[in-house]
Amino acid sequence: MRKFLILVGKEIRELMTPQLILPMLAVIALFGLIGKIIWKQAQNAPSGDYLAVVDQDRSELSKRVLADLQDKKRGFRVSMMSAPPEEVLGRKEWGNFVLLVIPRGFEAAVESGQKARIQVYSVFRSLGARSMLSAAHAERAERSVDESLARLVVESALPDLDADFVMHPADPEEYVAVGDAVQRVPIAQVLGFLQSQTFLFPVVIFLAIMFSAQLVSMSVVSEKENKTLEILLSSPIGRKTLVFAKLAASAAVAFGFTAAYMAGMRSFMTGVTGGMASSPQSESLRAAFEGLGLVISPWGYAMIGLSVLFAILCALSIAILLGILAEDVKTAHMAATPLLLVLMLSYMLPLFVDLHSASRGLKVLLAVIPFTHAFLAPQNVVLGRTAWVWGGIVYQAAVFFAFVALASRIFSKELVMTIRLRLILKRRDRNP
Amino acid sequence: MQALSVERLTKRFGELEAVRGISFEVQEGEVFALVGPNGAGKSTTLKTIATILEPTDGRVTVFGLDLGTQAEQVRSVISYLPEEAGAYRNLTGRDYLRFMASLFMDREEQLSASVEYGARLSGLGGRLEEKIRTYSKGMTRKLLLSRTVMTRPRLAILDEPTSGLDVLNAFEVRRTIRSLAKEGMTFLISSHNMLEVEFLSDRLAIIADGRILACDTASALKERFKAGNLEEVFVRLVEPS
Repeated sequence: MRKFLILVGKEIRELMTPQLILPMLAVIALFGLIGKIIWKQAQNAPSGDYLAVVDQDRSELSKRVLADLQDKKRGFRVSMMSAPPEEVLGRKEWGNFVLLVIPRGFEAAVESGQKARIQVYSVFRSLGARSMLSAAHAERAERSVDESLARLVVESALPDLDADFVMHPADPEEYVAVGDAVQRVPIAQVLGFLQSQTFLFPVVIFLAIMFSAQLVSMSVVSEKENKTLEILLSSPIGRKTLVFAKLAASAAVAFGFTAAYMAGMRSFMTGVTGGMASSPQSESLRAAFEGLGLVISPWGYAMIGLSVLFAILCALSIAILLGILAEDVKTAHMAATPLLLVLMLSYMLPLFVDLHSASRGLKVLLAVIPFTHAFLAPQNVVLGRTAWVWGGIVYQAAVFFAFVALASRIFSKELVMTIRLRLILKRRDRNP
Repeated sequence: MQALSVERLTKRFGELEAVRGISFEVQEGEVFALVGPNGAGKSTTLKTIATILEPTDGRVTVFGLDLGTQAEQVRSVISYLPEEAGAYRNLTGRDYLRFMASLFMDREEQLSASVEYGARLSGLGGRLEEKIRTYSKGMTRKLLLSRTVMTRPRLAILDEPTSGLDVLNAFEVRRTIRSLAKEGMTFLISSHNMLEVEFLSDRLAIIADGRILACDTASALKERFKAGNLEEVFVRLVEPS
């Protein structure tokens, strides 16, 4: 145990170089900074979506529709333009905006019982994610004009009836059911929260696994390259102790960085989602989320943590083997590529494929990859599928111990030094 | 006492036979050298005795310990210095010596004494408190040589101990080896530098193509082959015509 701890200490000191720490801290700080900037921009931005309007009809009806659009409930900041639409569209000083044109004959069409034509332009000056989202509000502007017009038509045709009742005779109550739990809560709010959670967790897990795998394979390769491995192999220390010390040190460093990444990412997501990533925004919403089981309990976090831990350990045990196969530090990155591809597969597929309706083959493929279980752990915990989480952890542990046994075997034999040479000689024999 | 016995040692990597049934013995307190060109099988032999590689055939014993069955015990009586090895760049020289010493011994006073001995041998003075990444090649080699002998191994195995060093650093390394040998430490070294081997070794084996061509003292070999130096002996051995 003493020698194990000495080796772990040495490994950590070798891994924690300024060249490693400084870029990592910079990335984490950058995440936080970007999040803060986005948050500040969102706070300072005037409320409501910007809507430029050219009213060519200038009728009573168009004025009433536009007055209705400016109602605070609609959430538009209407700017009336006197210039023709072509000129408004050409304004370069504006960012992305929506232009609503009410053409001549608007009122006349409604009065004659015909559909009134309106034109809605979505104008792009940049293609950032937030700009794309605000441009999507064009559809909402269209709907608002339509509803406003319908209300006026109903009010004039059926003055004795409540226009709101005629237009919305149903009073929908929105419920969301997750597993067996049912709560009265708007689906839009639940989705917003869930999307932020399903984005945040996998990204952090992905980074943690990738980072730790790179650490351990680089550690093995640089020991081989510097011949410090030969010195260790000829010293009175157990070969298994060597393997476990490398795994433990890389896991410890990776966990430190993962925690820091998590903090930076959380700050980023808070900025992007306006706080929804950290917590539901109101007490009633929090109560609804708790009722649905969407607020993960400490026990749930423990399960997710265990699954992530074993995913990292699996990556470490595989990467140590890949490190043995690499020739030098330069080729170590290439040697880690297969692991990276498998990791990408298990990260991307669950994001875009509904696993319930997926084919059996795809399900088996994803289940065989030990990292998938960590990516799916948060949603399985939320959905109450604890048996799946535990099953995944047991499988991950089995994979980890199998690869560690293989790595220990390679280290305890001369293979750790000769495996590459043997492969080269075999290849030469096949292609003389 | 016999420090090392190598009997018909063979090492193959697939079809490639790097060492072909070599035999030699080293007595305690002796400096024994394997000398030969690059690719002769010197490093493979040393790595095998250092328990890094496994013999394909033959038998090796170190102070009576069998390499095949007692490799762990062998590791506690040997110390190995690979050719052109590096050290942990982010440790200071002193921390490196302490780390390595702690793999060989538990007791603090024993450990501190070894580190102090290694520090003195290295001749690096105040530079020992600096990170190894700031060291020159010569400084690193001196640190590694000190590391190899600071735990007073019964058999020190040095692969090309002066390879890549300038004249002054190589001279210092040779002087250190000679003075430790006088104190009774057994050395097995490899080199392709015949003059170095002549200066350092008590006995030597000339090795080429995985085979030992001759084994004796330098003076006996020169006399046998009527040569002025070891280079001439080597040339006559490999090119008899």
